[in-house]
Amino acid sequence: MDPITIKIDSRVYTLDVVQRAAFRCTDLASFDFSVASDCEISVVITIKSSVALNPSDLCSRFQNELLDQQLRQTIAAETKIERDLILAYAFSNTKLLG
Amino acid sequence: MLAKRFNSLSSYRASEAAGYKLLPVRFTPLDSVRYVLSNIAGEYRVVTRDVIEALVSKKIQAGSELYDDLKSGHFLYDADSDIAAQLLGLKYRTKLGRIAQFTGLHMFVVTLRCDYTCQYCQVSRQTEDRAAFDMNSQVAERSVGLVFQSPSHAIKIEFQGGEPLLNFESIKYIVRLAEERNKSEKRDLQFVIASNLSMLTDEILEFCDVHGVYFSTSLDGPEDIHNKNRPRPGRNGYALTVAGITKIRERLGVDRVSALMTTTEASLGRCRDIIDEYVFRGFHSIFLRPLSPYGFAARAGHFARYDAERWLTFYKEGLEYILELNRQGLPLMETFSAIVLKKMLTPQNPPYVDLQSPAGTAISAIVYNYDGDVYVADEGRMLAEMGDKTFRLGNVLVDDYPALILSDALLDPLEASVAQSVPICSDCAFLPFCGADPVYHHTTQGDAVGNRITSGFCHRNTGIFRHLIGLMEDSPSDKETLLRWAWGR
Repeated sequence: MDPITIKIDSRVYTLDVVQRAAFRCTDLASFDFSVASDCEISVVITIKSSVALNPSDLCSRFQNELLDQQLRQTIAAETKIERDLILAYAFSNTKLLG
Repeated sequence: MLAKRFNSLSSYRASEAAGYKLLPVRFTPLDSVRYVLSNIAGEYRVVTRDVIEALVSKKIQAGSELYDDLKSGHFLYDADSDIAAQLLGLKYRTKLGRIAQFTGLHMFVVTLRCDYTCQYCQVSRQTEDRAAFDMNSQVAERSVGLVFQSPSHAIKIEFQGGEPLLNFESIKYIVRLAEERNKSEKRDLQFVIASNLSMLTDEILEFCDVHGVYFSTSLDGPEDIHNKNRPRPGRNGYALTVAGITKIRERLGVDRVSALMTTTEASLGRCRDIIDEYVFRGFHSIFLRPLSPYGFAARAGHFARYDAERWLTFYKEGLEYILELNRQGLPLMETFSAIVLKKMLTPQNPPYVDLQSPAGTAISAIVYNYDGDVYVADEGRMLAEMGDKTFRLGNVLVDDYPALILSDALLDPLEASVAQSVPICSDCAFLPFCGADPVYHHTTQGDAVGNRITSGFCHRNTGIFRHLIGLMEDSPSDKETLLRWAWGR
């Protein structure tokens, strides 16, 4: 099957988010990335020969993964301080309360 | 009176007006509509995607039932609940507390000799040569010395083989040695013999009675499955095992023998027959164990999602039947589900080797082989018998405890496989219930970390987590049973 090319606006999704989303689809396809311009990421998707999947279904799944990864990135950025604090409490040698 | 003791509800609500902040959460689809949202300590909620988006974009309405639920479950906090991070730290520390008490299970391979010829077994030997494959007293003494260097207060010594009863003299020697040492150590010391019971004698039972030794045996199901899985000259393995179970129960007590099943090709599609056998034999629990990759499948190079999917079907059918029996008033428990449910619903973190992060290899269980070689887990030993000694930590005759427990063969895979930093796992809502298995991933993917997208381990475990959470969401009567398993009631 011929590769599919998707253009992604890097002001919406960072390369990190795009790559994380793609990784979750690596059972179905291989991915190649290039930064086409200041605000465009180009993703070339090649569906594996062993996978019987419609290209549009794969694109839908990839787009849903993008949304999930974007949300995860927001959560990770917003909760960094809290996460560090929780881990500091958990691994502290001192008593936690009182 | 109440008004004097407590502030009014509105005074608590006032602090919510300033808005809320997120706490670290992970989310993973449960099905096509619902998501599982979990916090760092593993408390979870089943929600729609809309709720996750509303939570992240700070649109959960203060004062709403959902707000209160997410606040009490430590998914968000506000000015009124800024102790949340400390409480989460405490919960997380409780879950991880067991790590400081590491290596509770010490497996002694007292012989490789065995009277069975099981196809999937990588380790046994059909030989009369005692000197070549039995643990000698020097190895036994050094191994017992190492056992008591583990920091764990609770120590379980499990005798394995081959068939360990073929070298009962070694078992007796090790039990007496450990008991003597424990007079000063004062650990919570237990002994278990993992045996097919074919060599069980009155003399052995007498010793086990005096020394409080437990038995664990293999019962793969009804006679035809058991004998197919576990061929023995004379084809009477099933009859000998069942007779042994009866003898132990009569002499030592019902609770002194437990049984485990190994799932093979022959088991798939026969889960009801297997469960019926356990019920008929008076067991109150059954462990629907996964297919082992340490055999022909692993040698063929790929043991992955296909096998995991077939086993999941087997597990779901079996669990449905067990729950049906419970609905009929027969209290039978599925052990793997109970372990997972304890991790999901209680502060406990059972030391099941495959569901630990860092991995349970050597932290939960360690193996002293007959020849003195030390392995991170039973699977590490099996792999060595297949020619791969990656997980050999050293030898009791030449290495001391620090050399073994700080060896690269242990620390490298442990460090590499901490699930919190593994791709996919680090984002997974099921992470707090799951673990890492470097030996499995090394065996099936050639890498201790592994790729979770194609991992049978990941596919199997997330399938179980989804199934159990789905049952608790959708079936109140099954939820009651599953809660009983979680809390041991």
